[in-house]
Amino acid sequence: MAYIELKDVDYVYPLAKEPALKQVTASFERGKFYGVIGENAGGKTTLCNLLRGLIPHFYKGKLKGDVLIDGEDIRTLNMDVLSTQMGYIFQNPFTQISGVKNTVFEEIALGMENLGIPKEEMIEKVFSIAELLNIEHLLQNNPNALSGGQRQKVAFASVIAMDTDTFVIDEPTSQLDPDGTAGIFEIIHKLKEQGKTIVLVEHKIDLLAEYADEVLVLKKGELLAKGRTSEVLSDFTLTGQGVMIPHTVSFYQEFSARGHVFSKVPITKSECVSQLAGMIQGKKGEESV
Amino acid sequence: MDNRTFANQFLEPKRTGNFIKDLNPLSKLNIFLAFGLSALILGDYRYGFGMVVFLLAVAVLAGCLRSYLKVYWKILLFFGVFLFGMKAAFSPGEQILWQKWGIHISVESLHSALVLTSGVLAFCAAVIMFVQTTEWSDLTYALEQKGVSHVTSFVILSAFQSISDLGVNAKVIMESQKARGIETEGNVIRRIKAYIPVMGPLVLNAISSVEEKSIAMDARAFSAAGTHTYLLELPKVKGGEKALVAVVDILLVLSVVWRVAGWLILN
Amino acid sequence: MKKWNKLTIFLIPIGIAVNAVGGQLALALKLPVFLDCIGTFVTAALCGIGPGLVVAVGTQLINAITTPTVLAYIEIGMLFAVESFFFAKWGIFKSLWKSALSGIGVALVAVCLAVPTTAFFLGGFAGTGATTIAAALMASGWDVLPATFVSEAVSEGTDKIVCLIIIFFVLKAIPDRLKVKLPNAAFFIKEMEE
Repeated sequence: MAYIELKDVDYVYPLAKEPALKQVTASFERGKFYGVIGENAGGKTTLCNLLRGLIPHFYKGKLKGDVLIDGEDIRTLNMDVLSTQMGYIFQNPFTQISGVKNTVFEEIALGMENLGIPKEEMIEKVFSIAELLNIEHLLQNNPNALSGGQRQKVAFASVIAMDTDTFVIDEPTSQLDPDGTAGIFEIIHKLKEQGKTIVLVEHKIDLLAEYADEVLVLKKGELLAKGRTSEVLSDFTLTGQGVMIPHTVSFYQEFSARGHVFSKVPITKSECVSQLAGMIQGKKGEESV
Repeated sequence: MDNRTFANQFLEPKRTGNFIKDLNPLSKLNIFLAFGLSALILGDYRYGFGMVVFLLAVAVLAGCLRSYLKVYWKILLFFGVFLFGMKAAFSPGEQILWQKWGIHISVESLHSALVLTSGVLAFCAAVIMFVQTTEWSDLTYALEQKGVSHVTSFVILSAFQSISDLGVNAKVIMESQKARGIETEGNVIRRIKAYIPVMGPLVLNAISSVEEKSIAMDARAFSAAGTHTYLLELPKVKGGEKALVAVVDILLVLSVVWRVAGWLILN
Repeated sequence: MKKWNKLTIFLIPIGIAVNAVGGQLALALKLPVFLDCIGTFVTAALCGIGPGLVVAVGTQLINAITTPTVLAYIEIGMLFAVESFFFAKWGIFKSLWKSALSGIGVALVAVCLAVPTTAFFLGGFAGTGATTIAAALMASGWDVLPATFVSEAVSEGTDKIVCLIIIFFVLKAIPDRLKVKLPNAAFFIKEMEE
């Protein structure tokens, strides 16, 4: 049985006329990393809200179809319990700082305090998370006086520290520079290696291509595609539908337009490099003959 | 301080080394409120002014005289001078000492002015002393130890943070309005007109942020059931401290008894 | 507090902050009005009497940190919460002129409560701009009670009319998609279905 199962899901926000999700059917397995892409207002954040149980519990509105988490209907699931199993990080770093703690150290520990984790364990966890995110120098700072990017990292750290089985992450790198973004992706990758389930909404397609197991494409509330990352991102019928393609794929297109043939569409840098290396090797071979 | 030393502080109950500051926040609240109320209840200006002086000494002992006076001088000026003056000038009295332009200063009006002013000054001093010697997060921790919900703690601490956040935002919006040519000085109408475009967006943004705040705090298991743990730990309340609180409370009760008895005898 | 709607809990600190910052801004602009109860009205109108009361009491407690005498007037702010809830229920906040007029009523009740405290407890000294008026009246032979009443009625009346006009616009501008999640949504939104 799949971990999360969506069957013919329609959802309309209260007072809204248009549905935010239309006939969405998808399933999510434990321990996999799912990337969610698509145009703005395509339903990406709505999907996150649904997985996290905020729909229908918090947002109300009209939900049709089945949403099952571990086989249980989301309508009857207890939100408070769900909040201890599913971490949720979203875009705006300013509202994600609690505003009730004086240091970043205590801010990161807040969620663990609420879960009742013993003090010594909390302290060690804060240290390891801070090291992972490279924010050790901020630990004694006031979280309410940080820059947007710093807050985003602290907010991220605060949720990761709670060590839930699943993370729903909605554009966590909006305020970060390329280095910071790469750092966040490395951590998400580490989480995946620890067996966590990850659903990530992200525009930075190259990084998704590197790490995600599967990609979902949403447009105007409909699920256009869902499948293995390499398949979805090399499906050129999707490019006109608001799907950005990784650099490696545009590279591939350019190359094949000039008559060079790759054995398959490269999605990640390493695939691209190894294929190119193969081609160069082949050419050298020809020359030496 | 390096991060390890900083973190190790959480392993020990929090102490500053100052006897007054290290009292349990709830003991402090009790003691200072009893001080302030007793001055109001007794209605004896010698006691009231004595309390003001005593609390000054406490401020010195607590090592917060400067921050205490920074708040308290306004009270001294406002109530010590103006309230006293007004009460002395306009309260009724028989033994007139001085009168002109509708002002009558009499022995009685002076006395009632002294009584009122000393009571108000002592009460204000006690409240301000409590605030100056207590950290809010310590108070909310102590309240939670007494079984008060962490929701209450959140509301208290978040209120302070929101005030400072909104204050900063107000300045930012005001500056940008000025830059756009909206006058913030001049006649009353003009100044009221400046108020609206600052306050409007400020309030609306703040209210709109509530939705995300609630989701974000939910993601930190804010409403999860079960017992919480705390990084913070305050020292256990010792017998001496309990005794101190009891003595102060007895004094408060005695002052009430004294006052009621005096009133009964007079009537 | 646990039974309350989740958003309500997060709106309370904002209500307190709006009261405080609204008052500070009025002072900074040297306005002749206080405008320090907008948060109480808005919270009570959107979430109900209980949350409004918490905002009112919380605000006065925080003001008491620097000016403990405000505690003597704590019941007035609490009354605003009750009034605001009923104004919302009766649809008064749907009309600008009704809101402004109700400001006069709010001010009158507030003055009736405040005057005895100011006159008897503080000898006519409210510590605000109204005090100058009161002092002038008393100097010209008025008794402390009428002098306090007139001076406070003038300043309170102006304050509450301006206040309620601002509150009308704030409540109107809050998006429906937010109101719909708050306890009193039905007071503001016609097409509430559930």
